[in-house]
Amino acid sequence: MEINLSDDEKLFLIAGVEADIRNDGRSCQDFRTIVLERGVLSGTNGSCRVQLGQTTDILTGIKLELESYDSATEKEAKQPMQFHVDFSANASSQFAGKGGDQYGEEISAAFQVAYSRSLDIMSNLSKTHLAEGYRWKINVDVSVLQWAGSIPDAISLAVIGALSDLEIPEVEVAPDDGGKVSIVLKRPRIGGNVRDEEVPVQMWRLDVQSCPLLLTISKIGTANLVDCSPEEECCIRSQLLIGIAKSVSTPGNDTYQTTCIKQLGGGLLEMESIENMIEMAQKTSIGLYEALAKRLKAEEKRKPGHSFLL
Amino acid sequence: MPTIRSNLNIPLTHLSRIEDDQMEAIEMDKRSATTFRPLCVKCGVFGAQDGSGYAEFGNTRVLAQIIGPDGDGKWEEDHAKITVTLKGLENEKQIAEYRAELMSSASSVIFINKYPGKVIEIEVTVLSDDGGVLSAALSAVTLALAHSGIEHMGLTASVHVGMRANEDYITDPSTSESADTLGGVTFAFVPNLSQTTCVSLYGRIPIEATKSLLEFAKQRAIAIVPVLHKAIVNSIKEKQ
Repeated sequence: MEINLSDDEKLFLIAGVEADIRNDGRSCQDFRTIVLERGVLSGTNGSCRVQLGQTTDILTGIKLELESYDSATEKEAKQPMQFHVDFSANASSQFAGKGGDQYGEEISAAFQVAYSRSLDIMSNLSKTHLAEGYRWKINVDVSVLQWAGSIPDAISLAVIGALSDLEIPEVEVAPDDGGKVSIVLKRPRIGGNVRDEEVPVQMWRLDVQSCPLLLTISKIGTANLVDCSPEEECCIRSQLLIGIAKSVSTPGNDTYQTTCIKQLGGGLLEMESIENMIEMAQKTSIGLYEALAKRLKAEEKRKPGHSFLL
Repeated sequence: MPTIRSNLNIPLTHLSRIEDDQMEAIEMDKRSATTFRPLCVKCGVFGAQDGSGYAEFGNTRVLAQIIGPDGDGKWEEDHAKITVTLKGLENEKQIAEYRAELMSSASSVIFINKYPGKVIEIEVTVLSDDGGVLSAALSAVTLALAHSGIEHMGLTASVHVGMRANEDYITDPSTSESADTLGGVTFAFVPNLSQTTCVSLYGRIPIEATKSLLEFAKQRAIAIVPVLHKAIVNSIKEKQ
């Protein structure tokens, strides 16, 4: 899908957003309808699908991997999440062949930056570190199935959704000979005539309420916008990718931290605009965190294996 | 066969790594929060390319070359195509990240409409990485652009600034110096327009402190402008 707007159409759109009325009736700080479903892929440890404005469609799957590393060379604990973003050629013809590779790499690099301090931000992520030399590696794979603007925003919601869906097995670490350890899955003891293998493994979940959000704030004319449609993306003068994390160290008194700011896609910005855009990102993130928490609480679990595709 | 020495020569001893503590001893007792590491910038390094620039901040050394504007036989749009390749970094994620920033920054200053159907290739080689690669690369690219004569809006001054927990700043930290920082920002702006071309913030900065961090970075970027000017003036003198 390629959008070609004439100059007059662009002028109409720009004048509109400057008056805080967008072509689809939203104001500058409104998101389109967000659909979030979890547990959509049976082959993953956690998955989530996010649809934004009925067209942008993102599928995120997380796979766990028990990773051994050299504790001598790696002194500082490394953040266990690895992101990979893949653009499907079905999303837009511009992603056909290798078209989406570079953009995908850039977005996954931005997520890597936004989550680089997640060990300090997310309260129980450090539990993925099992023993000296062993940890869970969290591979987050994102597929963009349909493209209609605001890809980073949709991906960040899908990533948080999938992380909240992720079930990590509890393990027992026992010292082994040669200074090594053996890692065994933990199963609750229930009496009776049940074989050990039939007892389900205990699982735990990540606390996602302070997961970083990655928002795009775009400058069109003199207005700042969130969640741009493809038509609006044609008129963008410059864009900031802002990562914001909520820290919940003091209940009821949330503080916010910026984990990433990137100026992407060319274009110049005044200092003052940058400040306004960060402010806007913070305001937006408050609402988005709230909506997300509500949805994650209320959403009913799907039967595993019954995906939205059926 | 006669050999002609190029006008650039860096003694091999100078390329060897200088330890952080030793470097401070050479320069002054202790680097204050606002001073840069010893730096060297050069506009025009080689003659063979259309433009080249070199930037060195402490042990971070980056070389930028520009090839073009040239037609490649395929590109036929009414504006120039800018490509950026980045070499010399091991981490592929980092390459993708920096390439995006360099691309965005370069394309925002070059008048691409003046070169229809042309391709401008920017090749950045990181010779050694000791923190602040992106800012050094942005400086090298802006010098290479000035050397190439491609029309652009103006010089880009860039700086890498780190922030520690108690809200004190550190200008141009090396890898070891940035170990205890909360985060930092690479900031680039065009002084004659007073507009930014690159903001790349990482770590976890309290949102209230973001504004003052950017403001501090801007002040430090202004401080580096005369150095860049001097490098360009020198290159013109050499030409004459």
